[in-house]
Amino acid sequence: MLSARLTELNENEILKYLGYRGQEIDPSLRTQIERCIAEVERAAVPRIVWKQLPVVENHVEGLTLAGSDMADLLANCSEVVLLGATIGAMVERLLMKSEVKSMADALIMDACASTAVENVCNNFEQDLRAEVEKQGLYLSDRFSPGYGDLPFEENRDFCALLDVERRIGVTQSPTHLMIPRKSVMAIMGIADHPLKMRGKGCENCPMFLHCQFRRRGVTCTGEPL
Amino acid sequence: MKNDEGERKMDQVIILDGGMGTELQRRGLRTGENPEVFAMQHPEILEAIHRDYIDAGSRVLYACTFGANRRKLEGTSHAPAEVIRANVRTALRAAEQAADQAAGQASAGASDAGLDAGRVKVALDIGPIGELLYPLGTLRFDEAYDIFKEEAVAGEQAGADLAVLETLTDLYEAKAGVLAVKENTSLPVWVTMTFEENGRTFLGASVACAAQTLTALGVDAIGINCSLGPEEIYPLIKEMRDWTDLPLIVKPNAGLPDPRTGEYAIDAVKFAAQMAPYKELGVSAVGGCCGTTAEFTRLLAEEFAGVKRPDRLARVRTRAGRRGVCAAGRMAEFDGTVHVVGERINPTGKKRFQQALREHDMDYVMETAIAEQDAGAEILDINVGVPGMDEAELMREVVEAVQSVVSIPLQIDSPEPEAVEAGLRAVNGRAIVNSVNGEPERQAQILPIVKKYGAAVIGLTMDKGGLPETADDRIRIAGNILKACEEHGIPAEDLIIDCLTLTVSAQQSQAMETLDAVRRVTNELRLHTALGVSNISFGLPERTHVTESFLTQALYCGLDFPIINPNSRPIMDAVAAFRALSGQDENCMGYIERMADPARQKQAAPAASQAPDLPAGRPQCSQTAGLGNTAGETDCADAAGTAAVSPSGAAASAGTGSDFAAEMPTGSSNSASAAPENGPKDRIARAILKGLKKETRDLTVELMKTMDGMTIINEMIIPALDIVGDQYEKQILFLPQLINAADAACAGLDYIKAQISEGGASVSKGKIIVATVEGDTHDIGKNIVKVVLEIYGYQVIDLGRDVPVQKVVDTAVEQDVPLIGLSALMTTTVANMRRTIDALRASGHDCKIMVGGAVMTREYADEMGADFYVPDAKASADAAKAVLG
Repeated sequence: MLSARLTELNENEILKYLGYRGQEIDPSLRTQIERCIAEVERAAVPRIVWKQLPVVENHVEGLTLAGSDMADLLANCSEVVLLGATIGAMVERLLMKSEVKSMADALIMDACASTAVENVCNNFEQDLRAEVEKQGLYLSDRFSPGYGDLPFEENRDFCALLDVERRIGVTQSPTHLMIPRKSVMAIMGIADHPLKMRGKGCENCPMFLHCQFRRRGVTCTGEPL
Repeated sequence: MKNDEGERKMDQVIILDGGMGTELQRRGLRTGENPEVFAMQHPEILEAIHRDYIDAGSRVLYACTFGANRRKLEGTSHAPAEVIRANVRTALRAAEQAADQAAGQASAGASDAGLDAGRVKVALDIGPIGELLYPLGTLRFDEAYDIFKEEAVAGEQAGADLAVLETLTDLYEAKAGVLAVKENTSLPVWVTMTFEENGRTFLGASVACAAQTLTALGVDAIGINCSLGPEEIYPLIKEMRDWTDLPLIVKPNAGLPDPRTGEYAIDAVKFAAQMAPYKELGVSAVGGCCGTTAEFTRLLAEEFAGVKRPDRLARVRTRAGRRGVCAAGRMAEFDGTVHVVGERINPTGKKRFQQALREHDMDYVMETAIAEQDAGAEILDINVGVPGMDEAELMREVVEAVQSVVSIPLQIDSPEPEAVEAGLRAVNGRAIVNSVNGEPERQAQILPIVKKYGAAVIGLTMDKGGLPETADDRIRIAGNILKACEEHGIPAEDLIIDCLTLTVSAQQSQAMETLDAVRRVTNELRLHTALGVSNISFGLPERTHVTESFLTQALYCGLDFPIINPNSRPIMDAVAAFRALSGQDENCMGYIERMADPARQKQAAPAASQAPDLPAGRPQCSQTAGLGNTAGETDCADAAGTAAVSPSGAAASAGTGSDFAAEMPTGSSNSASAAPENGPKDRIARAILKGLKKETRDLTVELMKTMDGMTIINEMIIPALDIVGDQYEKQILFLPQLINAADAACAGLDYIKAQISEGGASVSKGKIIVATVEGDTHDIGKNIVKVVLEIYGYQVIDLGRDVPVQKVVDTAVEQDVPLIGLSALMTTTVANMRRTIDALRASGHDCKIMVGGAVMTREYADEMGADFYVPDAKASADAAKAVLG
């Protein structure tokens, strides 16, 4: 059975979330970041819930799956895997406390927490891919509501189908924001033939909507849009 | 509503039912369909399921009402009352028909846990609302209460025999539910919560804390359901049993479902086998949750046939259980060991604290609370008595704020019954009330509230006759209070006697009388004791020695709830030493660890040189020496308090060797300590730029000796921040560095604010509202803006996140606020930003509006009619300058 795994956080990814653009990082800031990583790792309780469901006539029961990415996925795949992942409410409490104690700590921890939930998703994807490939099948890229043209609002159906409230303690606000905030719903397809993977462009990036770099007219690698 | 027939009749363990969702699915419920509505529309299916469970041996049916609350039914066009009425009646129908068939047959009646014998009972099943409560979520306690009330009232009207709150993971939500059922119906109420294997709920509530809190609230039975299988729940129920006298319920899952097939891991035979050990454990009701079916119930009923329920009243009589006060996840057990009660959340004699309360500046209160917990407080006293303020409302606000950032239990400190009740209601966990005394009038006001919420209570040994002179008098009054408590149904274990500390310099003989009374209350009355010790040394030089010595002696006499200033190191050292000497601190490990703290070594050395000179007439103190503070003391207490706020932050930013100094306006040395020749302005600028909190604060303290606070802010702190902002814009610094600098500037500013406030004035260049708009919960950006605006000297009214449109408008109008900052992070909530702006304009209130947040752009901002688009904190400060100067 695949389990929730949180592995070592990638410091570069944390820096990316913090808007890092090659500034000098002095030892005290380095220490601060390491301490924040440690605190987030201590508070994080990774949890996942997943379900494998059949695709019947380009449709998965209980889901809308709008947009061209999903049309493509459903046309090519015989099954989908839905994933709900979170690092839990204690991280949220930690962030709240930090915002009072030290806003800079809170900011860095927020980036660590984003990296951590992404890490849990990546690990699951990697584990699942290995399993799927062992069976001679192929796993697609991972999509989440809000990425590409899969509407953010579909988080609601994902949450319901996965029963995330009971299984991993994730709820939704009336505006469909997930709480704890560091939670992710995702979908992947399984096919009997190799699938075209997405490119590396911004439109395929999970940060597309909220990217601070894009707002400044550049990519995270410093290239103009 | 509770009956005690259980005492005379040893009944059998009650067999509950099994899963509902999986049964409905098997009989036609489609994925994504609302189960309660489906059941309402197919009563024949629902009835058949109930009949199956009755036939299998269920004595209590859970009606299909788990998610029948107004939030979860939204969009189904059905109201909770409608669904609840229909589904409860279907269950009742099944129960009555079964009773008719079995008429004349002896029934294995249930008389414990609020149930009478007779036909199969129907429980109104109340599940979680599906939204998290504030502070993690956006649902307020009162609204949660209202949602539960709607369900409970409908359930009672429909004829349910009892209410079961189940599958809850938030103890606070459980409390709202219990109060809603108890205050609006006469139904017995059971509560079962859902834990993970580590003994915590998803939200961090522990088994012990859940058991104590729910028992205190007066529910009829508690237990655990869902999530785990019987084997995993077993040790948790065992622990729960230690912390309650109530009947226990267990309703496990059939393990977890397979992600590929949906099949649950445990079959009915295995389930029954795993349930068998519970017979020895003494549970009162057993059943199954997700994945269990009528077959599970049948085998379970066979397994438990003839098994008697435990005699819980025997436990009540012998007072076998453990008890304590708690937050959701942290217990302070009443086991005779010392529990430090922090006294700093108290405005008495502290102008800065009074100002914070008047301005609803919860950040200041929260900082104080965090500092107390970090310094070792295990319970926090909460006193918010400020003349002219609505104390009950303020109590609620402060309790909510404090428990959002600390994890220790609270002590509600007020003479006002309304404030006591407001505090107890808002507490997540089980609290202490401070206090009643020997006066019957006061007891009559306060003790019923204490009983209702199941709190512990402090009894002050004074009465109409005033302060007693002798230990004998104190013992007499303590006895009276004990009697009053017992008359109100409050057990002796929950009473904490305060023998009152009088000032030794004024009434010298009283010190020994107090100590004698503490000893006698402990040994003769066998009650817990509390004592505010700091007052002992008032008026004496070098007070700490006297306070410390008195504290140690009182602890030796049996004092287990010292109310002290945990930020005072010598006082906490005395506690640590006592714990080592008394054997409470096993192998002295706690003491050794405390003394090994590196921050301690670092701060101890330069103590003398850092002590600020205080004006004549104030008590002597130094930041490092600390003092025996009473809550009533002012300046040095605050200084010591804030200095301790963020030891971790200070330590982290204490590194050297930064290259930022190369960017300094002075262009001189790159080491702060190596530039003594530089003026104070350069030194403070460098400290801020490098994000050094402690240095900034120390420099500010030094500067305040010769300069006035506003000058330091305007000529030193703000110019330094301007440099930081400029470097951030040029991308020489990145965000964490900018915010570290802001945090450092805050450290200096906090000191100045405290000083100015002592002089009766305040630092403010004008008011600004900041709010994350309705529906949005992402507020880190808004909070950064707030910090920066405060540094620039503005009074920021932070309305928080998910702020209703009308609240922004009302606050703006009522407080005549000229600048409003709105933040939205999600595309889905930008619409609410527009609504807020429209409402502000429509109100006719003359103000400027600035907007920011991840999805915001200049075009959006213009289109919505905002006056300023502020992409970052620096820009918001510029906007503030433009509007307010």
